[in-house]
Amino acid sequence: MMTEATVGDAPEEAWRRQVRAIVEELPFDDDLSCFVVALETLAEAFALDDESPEDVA
Amino acid sequence: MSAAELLKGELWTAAAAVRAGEVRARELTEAAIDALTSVGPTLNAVAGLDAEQALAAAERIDRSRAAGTDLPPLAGVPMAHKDMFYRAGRVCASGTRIRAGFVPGVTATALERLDAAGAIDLGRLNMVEFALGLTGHNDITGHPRNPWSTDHITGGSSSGPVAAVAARLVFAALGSDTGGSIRVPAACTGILGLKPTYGRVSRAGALPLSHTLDHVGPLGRSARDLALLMEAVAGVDRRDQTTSTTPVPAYSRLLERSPTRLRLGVAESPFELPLHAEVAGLYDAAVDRMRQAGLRASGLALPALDSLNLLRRVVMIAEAAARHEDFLEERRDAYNAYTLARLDPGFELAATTYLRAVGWRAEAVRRFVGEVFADADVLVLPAMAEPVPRLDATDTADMAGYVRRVNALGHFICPFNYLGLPALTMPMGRTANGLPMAIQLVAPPFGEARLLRLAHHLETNAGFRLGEPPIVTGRSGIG
Repeated sequence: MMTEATVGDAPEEAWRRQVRAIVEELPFDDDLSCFVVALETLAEAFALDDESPEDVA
Repeated sequence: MSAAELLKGELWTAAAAVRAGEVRARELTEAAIDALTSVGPTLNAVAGLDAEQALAAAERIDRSRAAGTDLPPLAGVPMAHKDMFYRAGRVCASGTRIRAGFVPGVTATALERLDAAGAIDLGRLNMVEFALGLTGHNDITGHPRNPWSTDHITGGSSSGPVAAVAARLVFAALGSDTGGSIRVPAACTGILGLKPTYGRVSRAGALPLSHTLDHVGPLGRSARDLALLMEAVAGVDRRDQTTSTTPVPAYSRLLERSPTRLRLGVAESPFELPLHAEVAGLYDAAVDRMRQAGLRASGLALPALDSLNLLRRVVMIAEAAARHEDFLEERRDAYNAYTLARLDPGFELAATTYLRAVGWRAEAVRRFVGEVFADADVLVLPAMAEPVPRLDATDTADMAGYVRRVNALGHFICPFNYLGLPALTMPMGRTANGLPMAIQLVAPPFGEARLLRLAHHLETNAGFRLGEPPIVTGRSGIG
């Protein structure tokens, strides 16, 4: 299990191995500005009828 | 009802009593000061009281009411906050020797908004050093104590706030959550904690740890209390460029809408981190109670959390290490060993690794939301895999063991910091050791209203509520 393996008998090596296996295999996405926009777009797509935008504080 | 009796109840009830003239803001504030000074030391909850300023603010509210002025929604309600929210001219020590005398020149946006809503700020509550740690340990200030049993952890890093709110010393508090620091301590002490969507609440004037993952949110004793607090603090802020312009819902009004049409996706075992048998039993019983309360709950296979936890950890330790680099060069010996154990690995990461992890976040949330919320409106999952541990089981010189424990405590919690999704923990019962155990509710982005109305339904119709803790003092002294 990954969370356990991060601090096993050889914690530094286990950590590096996981980072290599997971993070360094990801495609590089350099559009760092888009995260809140991504959240706003998803919010619109997954809004419900009874959560009307008129009900603002 | 007396001020002391009101202090045992919920924030919204007290606010209504002040508006109706049934209690004076000064009486409520004095009751909270009494509680913080009498019970507060037993729990080591308080970092610094600001009684004089608080009483003056309460008297201004009482004068306004006497003059017939409409009072704002939180008028006269005493609160206190994690010692990381800046108030101009007041010490903000953040649980560390390094900032023991730090006096900020600005006030946090969240505090300014609570001031505008009429809340009384009674002062600063203890916390984990620099908000970096999930157990609540702090060798510098001493560990805050869990009012359900002072031998058990409060959880962290909002350790003082949860002790004070659970023990009825103040009505509510602001906390911060970079990797569970609102939700885990709320879970350990039987109160509610909400980590809002990334961008929903301004972090301006709050001590930063990891700007990609930091969230500010409320801790309280009911969904209605959290709804009122969110109405006060949420919304766009020019001082925090990551805040969203998405309108702030009328959370408290939306509580009245029945959640019985919501589709609950209940995460089913096997989990990557197996649940302790007692936790599994409480979780299954909680889901049964949801169905008995008229809710539509279906099983859901949880996406892998381990990789999300790894990505979050890469981002957090890189950003935290960069933020602390100068302090560490100058005053490394002033840090807690626990803090160093979390910070040091950040210096060994390649910059490219950090950039890949932080850059993947938008795609990760699109994939997670698309998978989980295609057939569910709310995700239901455990908050923690094991009962609240004892302090002496986590108070260790074995730093590798400490980090492993922290990672396990945050397994079900931390992914939602990386994903930026709103997540709420609330009590679902107590384990055999007498300590609370919580369930976690997660919604799509900006779905806080959905979480709050579900939580409100669960606490009013399905018994997801604990009473006042007995403040059980154990063998261990204040550490």
